[in-house]
Amino acid sequence: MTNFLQLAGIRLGAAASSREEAVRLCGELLHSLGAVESGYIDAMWERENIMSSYMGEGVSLPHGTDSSRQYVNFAQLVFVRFSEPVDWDGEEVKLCIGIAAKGDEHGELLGNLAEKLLEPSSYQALMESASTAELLELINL
Amino acid sequence: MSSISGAKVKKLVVACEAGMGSSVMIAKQLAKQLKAHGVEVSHSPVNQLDDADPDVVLCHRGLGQRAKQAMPDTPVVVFDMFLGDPRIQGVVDAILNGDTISDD
Repeated sequence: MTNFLQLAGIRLGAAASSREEAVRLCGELLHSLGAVESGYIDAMWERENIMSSYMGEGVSLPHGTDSSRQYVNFAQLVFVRFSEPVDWDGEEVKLCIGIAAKGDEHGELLGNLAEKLLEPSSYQALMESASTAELLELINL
Repeated sequence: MSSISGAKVKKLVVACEAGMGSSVMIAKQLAKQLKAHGVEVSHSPVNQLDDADPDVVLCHRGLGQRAKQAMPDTPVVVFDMFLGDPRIQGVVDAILNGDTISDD
């Protein structure tokens, strides 16, 4: 499988004082990796306002709108874990998986990720592991 | 209210807004679970549901009304949590066991 996550796309101990700051942090990271043009960052916040990207279990999945696919250069995920939970419209988020995709190419990885989030031992690793190498392997597996 | 026997479901569609995040995650996860039973699982923006021609629609509560308006004669099952919602598992179980699926 193509690696949709890279070491440089993993941030541990991040800080954000709001949901918007957290979403933009994910967007800026995607931008710094070259995966998206800067217009995508605003689109991520726009999408967040249409419907929360909160998934449950302290995890959210911010991404752009359908029309913002034009700003995507290549499909990529970023993994941003916060030291302190971010208030997400009443929910507490500790982990953001930011997504950029042109089509469905990242779908299989996302489906696998759902299983890992629902399985207690891999969930704990995702939420607590301090090793970026371990997290990279766990997600790209 | 619409309903269908789980045994007759061949096409399950997860409705979404942008189709890049949560709905893709759910659709792929369910596709894996239902592949062996010959059920196709896909995702579709809520305003294109008609083209996707689903037997059953799954969507987050926030999109439920729009999905039902688009597909008045198709069961639309709404859930509250993307991860581990018992209603999502309920649809999978109903398909596997041939139980009735309905929106209410």
